[in-house]
Amino acid sequence: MSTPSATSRSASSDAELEEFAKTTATLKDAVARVVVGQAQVVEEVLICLFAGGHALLEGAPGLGKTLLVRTLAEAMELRFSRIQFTPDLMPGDIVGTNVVVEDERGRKRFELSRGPIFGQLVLADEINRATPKTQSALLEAMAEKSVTIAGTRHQLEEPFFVLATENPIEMEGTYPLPEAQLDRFLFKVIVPSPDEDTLVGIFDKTTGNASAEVPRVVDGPKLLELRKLVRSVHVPDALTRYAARLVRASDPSLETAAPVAKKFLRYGAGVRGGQSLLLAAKVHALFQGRPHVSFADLTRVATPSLRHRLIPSFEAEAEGVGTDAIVQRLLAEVPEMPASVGRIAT
Amino acid sequence: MASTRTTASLPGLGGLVSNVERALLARGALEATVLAGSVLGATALIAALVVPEMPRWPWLVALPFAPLVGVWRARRALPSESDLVLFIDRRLEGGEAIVSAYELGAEAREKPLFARTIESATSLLEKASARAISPRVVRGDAWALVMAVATFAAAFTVPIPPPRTPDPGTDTVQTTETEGLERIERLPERVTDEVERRQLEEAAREARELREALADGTERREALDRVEQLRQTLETAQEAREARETRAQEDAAEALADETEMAEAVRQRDLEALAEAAERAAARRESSDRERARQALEDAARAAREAGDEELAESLLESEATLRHRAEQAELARELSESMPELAGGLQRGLDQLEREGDGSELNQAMVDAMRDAWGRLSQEERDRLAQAMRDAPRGENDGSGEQGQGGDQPMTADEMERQLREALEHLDQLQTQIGQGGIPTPRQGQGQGQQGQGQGQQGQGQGQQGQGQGQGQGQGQGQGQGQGQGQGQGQGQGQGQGQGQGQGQGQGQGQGQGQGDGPGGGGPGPGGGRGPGGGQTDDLSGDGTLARVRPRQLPGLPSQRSYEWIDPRTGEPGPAGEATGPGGSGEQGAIERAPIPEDYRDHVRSYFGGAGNSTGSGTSGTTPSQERNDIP
Repeated sequence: MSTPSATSRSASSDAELEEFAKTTATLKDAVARVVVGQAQVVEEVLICLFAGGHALLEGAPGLGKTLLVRTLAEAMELRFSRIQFTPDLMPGDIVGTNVVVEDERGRKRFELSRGPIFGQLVLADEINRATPKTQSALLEAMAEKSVTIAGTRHQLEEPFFVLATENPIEMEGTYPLPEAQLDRFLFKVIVPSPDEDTLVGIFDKTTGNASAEVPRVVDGPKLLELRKLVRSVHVPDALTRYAARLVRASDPSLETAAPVAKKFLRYGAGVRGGQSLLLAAKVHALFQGRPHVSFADLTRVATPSLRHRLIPSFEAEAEGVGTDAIVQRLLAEVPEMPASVGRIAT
Repeated sequence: MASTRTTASLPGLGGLVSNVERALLARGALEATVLAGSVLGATALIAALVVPEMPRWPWLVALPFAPLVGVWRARRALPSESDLVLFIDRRLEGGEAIVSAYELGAEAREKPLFARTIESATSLLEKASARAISPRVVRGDAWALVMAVATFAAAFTVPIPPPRTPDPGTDTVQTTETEGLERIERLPERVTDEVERRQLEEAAREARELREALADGTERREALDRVEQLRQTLETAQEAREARETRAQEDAAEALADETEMAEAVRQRDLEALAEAAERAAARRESSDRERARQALEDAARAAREAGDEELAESLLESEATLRHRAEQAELARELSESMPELAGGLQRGLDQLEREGDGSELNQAMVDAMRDAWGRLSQEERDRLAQAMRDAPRGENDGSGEQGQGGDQPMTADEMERQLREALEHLDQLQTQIGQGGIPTPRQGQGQGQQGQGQGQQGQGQGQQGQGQGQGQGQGQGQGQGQGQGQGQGQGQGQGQGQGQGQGQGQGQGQGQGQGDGPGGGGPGPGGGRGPGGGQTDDLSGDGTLARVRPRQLPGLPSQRSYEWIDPRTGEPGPAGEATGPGGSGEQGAIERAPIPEDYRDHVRSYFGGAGNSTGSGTSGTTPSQERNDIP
């Protein structure tokens, strides 16, 4: 039997949680009007969005990656910008540069010409085609959410969200992202090839005259407010420790490494991996309408959080063992419960 | 937030946690019982099979402690409360709502965001049953408890064998009462023969090693083996000695081939008969016969010495000396007879008896009588010549007897050695019996001792304080006795004693020997210190005729147990045993004292006839060296 105050608190709690759930559901619906299928991809991108992280989408060309990002930008009333990475792309092309301009009186002065990085939702398309020098121009922006141009530091406007895509097929003329830069992405989202039904839907929508209108679901300030709610989600100690055990188990140089890590990994996940895991789990818990994280949330987000942070060994590549499989085996080898609780259960 | 964690924030959680804790304690107790039961049961079974005589109940007694230890260990290993809550959350499939609510604590109730979590947790806890979430107490390894019970049962069914007795002779024997072994160690000290001394030294070494081993403690069977080995060594020495004696007797007898009587005596090793034969040879009228007999004795003595029988050689030499002495004595008597025809009767009778019986006592008396009667008729020159003859005559004899009488550090005689060997073997028999029957106290069996009997011919005393057995004691005339105890603390002793009197009397006896004699000596051998009272009376003799005679039947200095025979001069018969009757030597002494002889010559006469050392005691002389030899049994 609930008391009146408890009822009001519950109502308040439900309002926050329901608002979050409604927003995400509306966002998914809005995206679904344009992007056919790819629900898991959409969910993972939204997790990154609400967690305040960046996402790396990997998939073959033509799977709607750019469309997805553009649709999200439209639905969220965020300033969208796109950078098509090419080998001759220069860092200044990304962050911008000072140019000489002449005013009405004919005087010339330097004026900042902002690059595409100053958008709120930045699409870095085919990021692996740019040189590492240009790729590194994204590092400061992704990590610090600021850029430095001609010695002047410029803060990027929040919310700032980078969605990068890369093509796993074409390896010639590409520059794989260094581990340090991969680590700055919250998720690496694999965009799968659509199944038959999805393809049919894609064909229907893209070969007819109908054009879908994307509704405005949430603006920037609201998104920031929801991000704060994400941070308030409770993570039990056991889950935090589980995340820590997972991270340590992925490092083959440690005694606590899982057998799969010792066998198939050269490097494991770091601190950012654990942080990403818990943040993403919180968002996922909110997606489920819970203000606390469960083991199921962690398990769900483990693969996109860790897959790009694990560096496979030669043996893994030789045997064709991908990082997704390694993560799954890692989850299987690391018990969720601490040993003391495990002994009770036996 | 962690500080606010408490099960009280969630109704019902505390009870569930306690329930889980109790289940874990019960599981710990059961696990410890299973483990201890398995280990103890298996150990008890193995111990019962390997060491059946070991009791099994201590293993069972230790079992009840196992649950207590298990509870103690389980309490120490109890998971934290957070872990227990997590376990309950997982059991109730709460999706971490319960553990989150527990961790958020009471403060979380003020935060609207977590109301759904708390409500979810509360709802789950309200529906939870303690039984549903309780961990399993009995797990898969509980079947081992059945096995433990089975092993205990099997251990108790193994029969307990009767106490195992140690192998015979493996017990330790320890004693320091090894006088017999010490005697054996001293045997080589007084042996001159090189071969015999080497054998006895070997026996002494074995005896010393055995004595040390017994003092330190050794196995009974080993001690028996070594005793047997020592016995064999002694018997070997004894047999070698007997062989040498036999050979010496044969050689001596061969040297005395012309003197058949003496040769037979030597062959029979009858030294008394040898002495008598020597006296008869001395009494022969022809000096050439005497010289031949004396030469034969010397040759026989030489042969005996070369054969290694020193004892027989000495006896033969003594016989030769006696023969010479008697010859001089007979020659003197003949001269007296020729110079004083009126005395020829007594002297001739003494000479006849000397020649017939080898007994010079009558001749001595006859000479004394003749001297007493004729002394007054002798001229001064004749007196001087007689005195000089008497002065010279006993000197050599006394010198010889004196040499013979010195016994203490002299080499051991054959009889002594024979007796020592026999006693050593008897001691070994006793020691072997004691060791074999367990009469010697062992360290394991406690303390006991046999007390050796001591005393002059006294009954040996024995005491046994332990074990079973009897005590025996033997006492000999020298006041030695032995007693050793065996068995149940009672000992019996037997003793034999011999004593020897002095003087002219003689006593023999057993048990309580008595001897009476006319002389100051007396006493006969007997157990418990037989002795003669020494209160002999000297009758006041007057008139003519022989009043008393002493017939020594043994040469002085000869080791023998032979006794003197006292002849009552009035009856001519030997006196009753144990009671020397008749005036005896004291009568002769009195006759000399009363004879009209100057005091100087009286001493000469006394020393001359007393030089024999045994028959004509002076009444105060006590023991001469030769008599000391006679004291040896």
